[in-house]
Amino acid sequence: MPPGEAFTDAQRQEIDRRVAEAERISGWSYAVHVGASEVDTRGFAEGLHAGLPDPPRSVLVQVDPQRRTLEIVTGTDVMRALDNRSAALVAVSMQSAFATGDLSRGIIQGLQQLSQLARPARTLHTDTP
Amino acid sequence: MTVHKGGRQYGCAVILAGTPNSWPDGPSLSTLNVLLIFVGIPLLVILAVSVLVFMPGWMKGPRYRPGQSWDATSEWFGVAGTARRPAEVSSWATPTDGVASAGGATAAGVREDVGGATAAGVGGSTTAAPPEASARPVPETGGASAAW
Repeated sequence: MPPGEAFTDAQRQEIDRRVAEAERISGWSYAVHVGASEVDTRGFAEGLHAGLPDPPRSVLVQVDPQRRTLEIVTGTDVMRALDNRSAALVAVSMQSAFATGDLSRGIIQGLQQLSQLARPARTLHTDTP
Repeated sequence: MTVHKGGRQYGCAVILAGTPNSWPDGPSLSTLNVLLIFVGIPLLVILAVSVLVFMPGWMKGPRYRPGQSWDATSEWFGVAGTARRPAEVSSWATPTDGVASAGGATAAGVREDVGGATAAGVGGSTTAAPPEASARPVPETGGASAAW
């Protein structure tokens, strides 16, 4: 892995695959940003989230390894399926992985958990009176 | 069968058994053979296990170490083709940031961020935008924050 890169090619491919899988499972759009943020990490993440193609239906995960901060931003539509408490649980899980130095594993775990928690609930017989 | 009486050793008559006399003595091993068998084989096993344990780390390359400087370039995954840079979206910073961070007390280092509408009953009016931002729409977002 050349200096100046956060992930190996295999890790990038795995994260991309997990993003696509999360979008397929839950139906929401996901974006992950790993890099430097600002002093106001929450505001920075919300700014990035607002710049996504469909913010109400998008989930943004912003990781700043230098400041050691993690921000999960969910759009208004996503919030109906993924409440803040569930997002906080995912954040705790990702935080534990990041503390051990494994960024890719933390991101992959977080995407998997977010997609599972945000997936639409299966309903039966909704078409019957 | 050879029977030994170890009375002197144990203070009483104890019958011990050895190998039968009809059994031939086995070939003696040289010192080199002994070292290869009892030292070489365990070393090979240790070496093989060590390689299996550390090889994934060698293949992955240098890992991120919390607390050390981070000089890698920023990376995007997923829906990021049209994401704007922070400077372009700074006007979208919601005025509810200060209240949103106080939306809930969770585990240490984790904040539960509450959207603008739901935080109204917690920290006062969150929809009171600064006059200069009143013309801009305030997007409601949720999520969580954490630090390690």
